[in-house]
Amino acid sequence: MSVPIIHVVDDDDSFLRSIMRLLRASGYEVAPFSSVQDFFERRDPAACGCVLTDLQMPQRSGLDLQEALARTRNPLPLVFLTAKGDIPTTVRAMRGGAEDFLTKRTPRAKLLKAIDRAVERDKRERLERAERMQAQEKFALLNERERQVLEGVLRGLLNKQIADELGIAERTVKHHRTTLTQKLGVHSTAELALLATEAGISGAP
Amino acid sequence: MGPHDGGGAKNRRPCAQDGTVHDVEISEVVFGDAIFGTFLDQTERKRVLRELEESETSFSGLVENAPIGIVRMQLDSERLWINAAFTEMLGYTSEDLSDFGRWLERAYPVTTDPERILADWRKALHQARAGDGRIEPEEVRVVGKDGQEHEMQFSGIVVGHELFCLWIDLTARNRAERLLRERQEQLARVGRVSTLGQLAATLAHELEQPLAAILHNADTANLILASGSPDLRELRSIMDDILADDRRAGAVLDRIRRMVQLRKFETQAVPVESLLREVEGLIRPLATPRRIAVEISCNPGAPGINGDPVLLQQSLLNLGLNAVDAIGSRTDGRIELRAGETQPGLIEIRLSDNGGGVPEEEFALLFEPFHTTKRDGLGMGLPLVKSIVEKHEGQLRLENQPGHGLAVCLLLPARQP
Repeated sequence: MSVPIIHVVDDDDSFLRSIMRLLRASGYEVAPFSSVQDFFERRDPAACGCVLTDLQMPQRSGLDLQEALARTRNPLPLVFLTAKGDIPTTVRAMRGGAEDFLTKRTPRAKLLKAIDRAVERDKRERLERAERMQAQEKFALLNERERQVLEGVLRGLLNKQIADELGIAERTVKHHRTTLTQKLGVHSTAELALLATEAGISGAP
Repeated sequence: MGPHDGGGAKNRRPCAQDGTVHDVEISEVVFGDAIFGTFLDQTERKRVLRELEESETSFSGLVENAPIGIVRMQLDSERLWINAAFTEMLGYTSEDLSDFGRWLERAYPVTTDPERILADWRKALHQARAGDGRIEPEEVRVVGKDGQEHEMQFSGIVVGHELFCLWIDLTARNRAERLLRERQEQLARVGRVSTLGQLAATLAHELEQPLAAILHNADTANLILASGSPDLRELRSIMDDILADDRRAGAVLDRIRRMVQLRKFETQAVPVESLLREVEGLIRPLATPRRIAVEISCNPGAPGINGDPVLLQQSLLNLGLNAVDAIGSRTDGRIELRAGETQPGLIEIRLSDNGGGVPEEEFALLFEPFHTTKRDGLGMGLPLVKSIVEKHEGQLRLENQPGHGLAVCLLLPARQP
């Protein structure tokens, strides 16, 4: 996996410089941005790590960044920096999945801890996303009938019940079950259920 | 008409020769065998009496139906008679208050001294009878039949052997006035707080950036110095940034100082007593809920000040709020606001409290901007007051009270007459 990059977004030039120095001196890879727009224009969309952003900025705020980033295929965890966060804003940011909410004068140890947590979270979420993608790719191999049979299996129905529901022979159901477990590369109904969960597919219709 | 043993009088209405009917009083006196009759024509007297009776009836009707409360009292018997408006205001009827003694018993709050009321009452009545019969209006608190206290205006007039007491219920009017005053005071308070709040928010935000940058730069410098081979060029640029951010923070402070002093200074004659009363009116709604007593006193005839009434009021209000904070949760809190010409040509306004006071060695610190002892204080109060007083060519002095608490004295030049 590539080196995590700490994306720092702040309109205050001097503050941005100081935080860049601090992070670099503490051994991090950093990328500075002077605004939300600058961030979306210049960032490497594939980069991992986290975003350290000012909450109040002249044009688009840190909350705007959070919203826009959440809609991308490769979101990064956020740590907010603020002069003084009011409670509604804090609540909104935390609901939006912010990793942390710190004042700009947070001491180094606490700041770095928050950044490390955000980077860890990014690593974890990245892995989960990759697993989901793989699982979803496998499920994409199934044809319409196999998917119908799968749904019945996930709902805990017996072959006979599935056959009745779909109006086909029980023997045919058994056949579809064999091919779909082969396509998905699973060996048991339990493994099948696990894979479905990973791919975000549930048994409920 | 039969024979009588003694004298008697009978009224008859015989017709005169001209056909008019006359009221005649006939008296008979038996004298021996003879009866002497005397005839007195009463027509005129009866007419006057009838007219008097009619006039009394219409006068009573007027009193009864008057829109203000009226209590008639016969001065000799002290019997009372009450009109409908009075009953409506206080609930009492003529039966409840048959005489003045019953009124004294029922109408005054238990806290008042009955002896004193009676003495005041006798004195007022005596003066009225000796003078033009009037008792001048005054405001009194009386208790209605339902036990509620009413704020009433009382005035009286003596007519013949009767005293007419006129009563107006001021409770509603006074309550409305009080409410209005409270609203205005709240508004003044909110205005002050929100201005300071905005100032504080701006201050916090604008200072946060340079201070945060200074912190992280200095922290980084330490990290670099701790490494084996410090990069001196990087250290130099860090130092440059720290100095620049320090200048930036200073500029923010200068701007705020200018903002605070921006208001135009407008002088006019300011009467000291009305200034004190206004400030009292602003402090009282904050002090009363905390059971803090506010006392003001002003030397009568003290000359006024030449100054800006709004700024002076703000200064004293600031000091008053400090006093309220200093008293805190003490149960016997007291704020005194005194003014007088202590030296010729010099007005001293002195605001003192019985709060915790301040050690004298810390006095100088109190005038430092942004020095504060309060959790959410700005530390701008006393420096502002000081600059306002100095604008008035006056002086500000702090004194610890002999017992405890702090007194702040504003020494201001008196206005030349």
